[in-house]
Amino acid sequence: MSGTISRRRFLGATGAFAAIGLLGACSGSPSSQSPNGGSTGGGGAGDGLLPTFRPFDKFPPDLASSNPDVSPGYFSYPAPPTAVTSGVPASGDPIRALTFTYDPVAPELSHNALWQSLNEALGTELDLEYTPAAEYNARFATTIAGNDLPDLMAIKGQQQQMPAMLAAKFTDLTEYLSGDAVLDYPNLAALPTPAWLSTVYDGKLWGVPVPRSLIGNVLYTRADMLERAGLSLQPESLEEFTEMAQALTNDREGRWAFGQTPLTVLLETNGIANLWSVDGSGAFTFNATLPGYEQALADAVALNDLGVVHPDGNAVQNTQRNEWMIAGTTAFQIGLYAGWPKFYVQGADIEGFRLTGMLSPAREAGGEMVRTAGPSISHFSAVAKQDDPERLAEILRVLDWLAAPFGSTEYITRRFGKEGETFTFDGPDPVLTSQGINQATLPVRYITENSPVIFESRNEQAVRDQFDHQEAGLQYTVPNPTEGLYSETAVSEGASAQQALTATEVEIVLGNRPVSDWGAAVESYMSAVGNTIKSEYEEAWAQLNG
Amino acid sequence: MTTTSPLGLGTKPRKARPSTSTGRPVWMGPPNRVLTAMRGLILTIGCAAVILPFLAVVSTSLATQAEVTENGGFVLLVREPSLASYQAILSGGVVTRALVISILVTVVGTLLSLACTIGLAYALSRPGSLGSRPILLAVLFTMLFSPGMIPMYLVVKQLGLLDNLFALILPVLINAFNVIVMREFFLDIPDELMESARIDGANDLTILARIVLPLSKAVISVIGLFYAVGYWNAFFNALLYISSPEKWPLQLVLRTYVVNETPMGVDQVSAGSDSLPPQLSIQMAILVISVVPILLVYPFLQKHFTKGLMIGAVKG
Repeated sequence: MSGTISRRRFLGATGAFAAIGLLGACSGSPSSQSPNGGSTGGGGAGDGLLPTFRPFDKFPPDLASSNPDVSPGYFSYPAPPTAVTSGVPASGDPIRALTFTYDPVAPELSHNALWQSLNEALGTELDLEYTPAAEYNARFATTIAGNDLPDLMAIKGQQQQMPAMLAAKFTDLTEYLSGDAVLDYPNLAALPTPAWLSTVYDGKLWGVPVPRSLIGNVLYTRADMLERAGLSLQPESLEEFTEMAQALTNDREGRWAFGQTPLTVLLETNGIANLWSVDGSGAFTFNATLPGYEQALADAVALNDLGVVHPDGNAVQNTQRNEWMIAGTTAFQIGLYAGWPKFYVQGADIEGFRLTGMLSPAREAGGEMVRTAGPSISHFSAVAKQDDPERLAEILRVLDWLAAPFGSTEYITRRFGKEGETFTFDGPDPVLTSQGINQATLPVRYITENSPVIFESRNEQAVRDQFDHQEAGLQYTVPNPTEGLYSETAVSEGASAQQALTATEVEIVLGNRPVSDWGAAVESYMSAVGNTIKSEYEEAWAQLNG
Repeated sequence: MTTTSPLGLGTKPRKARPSTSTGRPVWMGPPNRVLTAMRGLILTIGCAAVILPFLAVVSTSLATQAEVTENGGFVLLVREPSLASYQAILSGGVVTRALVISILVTVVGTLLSLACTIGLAYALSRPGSLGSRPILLAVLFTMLFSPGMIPMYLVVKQLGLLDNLFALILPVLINAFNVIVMREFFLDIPDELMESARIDGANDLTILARIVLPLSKAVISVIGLFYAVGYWNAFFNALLYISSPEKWPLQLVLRTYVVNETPMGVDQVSAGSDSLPPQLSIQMAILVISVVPILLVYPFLQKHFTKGLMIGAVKG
């Protein structure tokens, strides 16, 4: 993700502009740097650059979809777990990696049985350095400036002069991973194709992705509360959605429908998906200039006026909003899909607790539904300049091992550690011990990991609800047209201009400024950076699509 | 009541003193019940404004998931206190070790900073010190211009201090503002004291140790507290310079709990696991852990604190 836009800001109700912008910013971009900043995706899968996709069929899921973007669902861990690699992938010097984490710090190697068993399985020491995710950009900048790069380094979001920086400091992996070459690393070959697209710059592969589901943002719904109130879990129109919100609100009893103004939902309701759109001729449009965007702002103000949003909702942190939803103070919460499992832990003591995802309804019943695409990756790991082909092969084998699929013994070692010490089996499912919970925060998964799957131990309903949400929602997802494109202006100047526009948006949604101010704010953005970004994207798109 | 100008140029009205019916000033008269009640009310509200948030922080840190859920977030009075949050943070030894590192860095850093600041401030306060003027200007220059993150990193790297705890101390060893404040205090000490000591054969070091420092307890306490709080709260230097998480100070370790919204790898834990306290409780427990050591130091410095703070304020 872009370092200038925090995850919390992303989740803020009134930051829809930032939110959909971030979904784009999270993706990397293939490029071929042009003199004026526009750059193209280095060829699509069509010209054989992207790695061949060969998914595993060893571990058949309980829930599978014909839509390849929908993650497979598992009710239990495949039994018996099977090894998908042979021998140890490395035997040389320790492998140094720098990444970030969203978890607390893990105990050091000498006190971490999970880390020790991982090193034993890898055949070398994984020397892992990491920082809190929010501070990673500072560490990244100093590490690059200091020219003391570890073997593997997380590339989070887009950096200024990205293609030149990658070429100067990191290894071009095209020769080793593009096309069928990736089949030497079968676990990497099972990573989804859209994720690889985000590692391409200047027509070359620069890293191994950490893939994510395309489902992106979720309108989390307390299904048990809606069912008790006799409400539908999927409204058909904005009118029904609004009536539902009113039915769920009773401020005297301290209940509101939303913990934040659901602007991201209202944007999709008004046909706005992603920050940019492109037509068949390659003409890009900044979606904030569309009438639907202004209409969504007007709808947001109207929703606020109805009093269905918690009065403190737009001023608190997301942790507080999560608590509100768990406590039943609010019925909805907006957040990234990756946060879904934590709600089951928080709601474990609540009788009948059930969580589902609600799709943004069309404005009119039967109208067209759209959905903003989630980022296909969290980030990617690049290999520092490496002249020794044997060492490079060793590093790639380690990455391949780390990407071992759900169902394998390698996955268990990576996520759960050592049986009897850091985890035990509960039936077929591995479950961390209390000791293991602390040790499993080691952020190995942020180097690379397997394709996303849906798994909740002993909670079949939770697996079904997540699967159903993906199945229902991903069909409406509008691909992000900037994924695979690089705009130097967007990276270097876009954030500050976008911040000003977001500030205006917040003021409008809070009712401090009239909706009619939006047009002038967008015009100012376009003249400052928007028009340049648009032309850079158009140039990049033209190169990518011939 | 009026008064005559000393120069006899005219008279001007003078504000009457507030007085009671007996002619005595208000503060010498019997207490007015209404005013007393008002004062009490205002003080109570003021105290509540300070105490209640802190109580909520402590209570929430001791609350169970059920109580956090019941209250929709913060808990003001906890019914069944639980130490689960503290156990979750302190188990595994990461926070305990970070606490030791923070205390070490704070104590060593504060002592070194005080030693260097006292030495520099004393030298700059003595007339005739060699190069005192350009050195003072150099010190002031650092107040105006910051070197920036990357140049600082490169200097620390060139000095071979990366992943070394001294990287948390040396780059911030001397604070120019503190040097100026201390120099002003030293300049206030009467020259006669030092001259008499010099007549008795004392050199500069003896004068500093035997005369200046005993007279400067207030300013040393305050500046020491400034340094200590600075070292205690610092996390950004550690983020840049310390690559091994096992050497991270407390604030950086705790930041991983507070900034990130997930208490731990929840997708690896079964729902209903009793080993996961609520995230809000963990965050509040972290607040308690991070402020308690500094709170413990304050009472011992309080007597010097007001006096020390006034040094810069009243100096002409």
